[in-house]
Amino acid sequence: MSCRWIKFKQSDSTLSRTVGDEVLVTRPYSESIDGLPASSADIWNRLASPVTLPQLVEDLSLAYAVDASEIEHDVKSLLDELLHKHLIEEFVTTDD
Amino acid sequence: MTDPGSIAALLTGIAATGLPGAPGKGLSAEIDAAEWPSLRGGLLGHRLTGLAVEAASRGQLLLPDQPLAELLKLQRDAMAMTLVLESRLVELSARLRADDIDFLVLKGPAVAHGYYTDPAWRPFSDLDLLVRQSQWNQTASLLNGMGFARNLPEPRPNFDIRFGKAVTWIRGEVAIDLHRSLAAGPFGLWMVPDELWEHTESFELGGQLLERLDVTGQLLHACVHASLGWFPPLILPLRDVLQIASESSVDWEELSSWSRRWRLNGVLQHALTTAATRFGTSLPGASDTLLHAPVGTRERRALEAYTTQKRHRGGTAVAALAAIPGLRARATYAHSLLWPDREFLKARSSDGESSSYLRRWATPARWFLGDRRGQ
Repeated sequence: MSCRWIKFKQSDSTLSRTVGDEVLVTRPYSESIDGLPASSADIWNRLASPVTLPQLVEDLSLAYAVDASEIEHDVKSLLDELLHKHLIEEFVTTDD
Repeated sequence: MTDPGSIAALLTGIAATGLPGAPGKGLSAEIDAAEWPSLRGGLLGHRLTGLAVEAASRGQLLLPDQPLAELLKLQRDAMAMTLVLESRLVELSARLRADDIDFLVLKGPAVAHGYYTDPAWRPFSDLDLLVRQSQWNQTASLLNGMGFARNLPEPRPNFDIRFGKAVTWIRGEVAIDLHRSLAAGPFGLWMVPDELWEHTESFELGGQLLERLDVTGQLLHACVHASLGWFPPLILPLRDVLQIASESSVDWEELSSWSRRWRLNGVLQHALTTAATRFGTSLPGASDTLLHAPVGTRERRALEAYTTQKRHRGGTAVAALAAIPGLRARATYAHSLLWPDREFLKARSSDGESSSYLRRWATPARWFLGDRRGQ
């Protein structure tokens, strides 16, 4: 039996720089540059490799010693925002 | 600390952060609020904010809270600019490809990505592209069509393609130096830029593969830029020289071959030894042959036109004149510079309005008279 997962990763077309704790990110043909503050920057860096939302929430929960339920909404909101700006992409993967 | 010598030493120490082969334990400096304005000016002027942030994060550069916050803001501004430039570069690359125009990315992003540990260490404020001489006019038309404008008109028609190194095209905050060659003046005339197109590699930017010179070509260009770009040489271009020279894949035999055939022995020796002396590092053993290669009289004189006070007295134009083959071509070059079009004169005048050939001739006249009095 195989399971289908939605994974997220940084879009290949993004351009970024790290300045202190902040990550500046944009993409070609965009007129704006987004500044991701420390916590969002950490999520951004974790999206360098494909990851599911549950896995991302669990990793952050462990890293910051907070309950997963407390951060899931904020993480999902950030992913939605990054998706909307085409800075990350989502794709379906199948794990057998 | 605020005396110029101390500032210069501190800037060099900051510029050496993370440099392979840098001596000892590296920088260790504590700056107080009164010293910050001098350092701030130096960091901005030499584009060292990225390396200063790295030095601060390593605990090698200690700054009070306010200056540290200001440094981070300066670096943020610099990085925002590099991202704008990289975005425009990717967009422009699509247009160039659509028109079948070959191009190589030079300096800036071509060095920041892959050579430096973190591209944030290597800010840049414009883009540099090399195009084939045969596609020079086609590229100019494309840029013009995209809304870019030259910062200066040509002195005379076809001057750029015959004698020039690069032309700056500007649109808003984006400046592109479109290169025909890697060097100005005599060295640019002695080089055969088309040969460099056989020595390229790809690098990824914004999801696109772009072409740049391979590591040996990059080192050649870094040396030319460091030695001939400014007098005295700037710190970051010298760091580029050492950063690229530290790559084990540099083909020193190929570099020596180019250097010998293009009369660049003196330029490369000057860049490598100036950089090594400034940073207190040793050069790779493989560079020995190049460092001891003979430098011809014409080559030495041409180099002096860039690396001595002659540079500020029209020395580079005179050196270029001496390198141009054929009397007719020399006459065309001299005529173009002494009697350029009025539009060129107007653009070069300080107020953008007045233009005068007499004023134009003042520099060569002073140079000639001063030179004769000195004899």
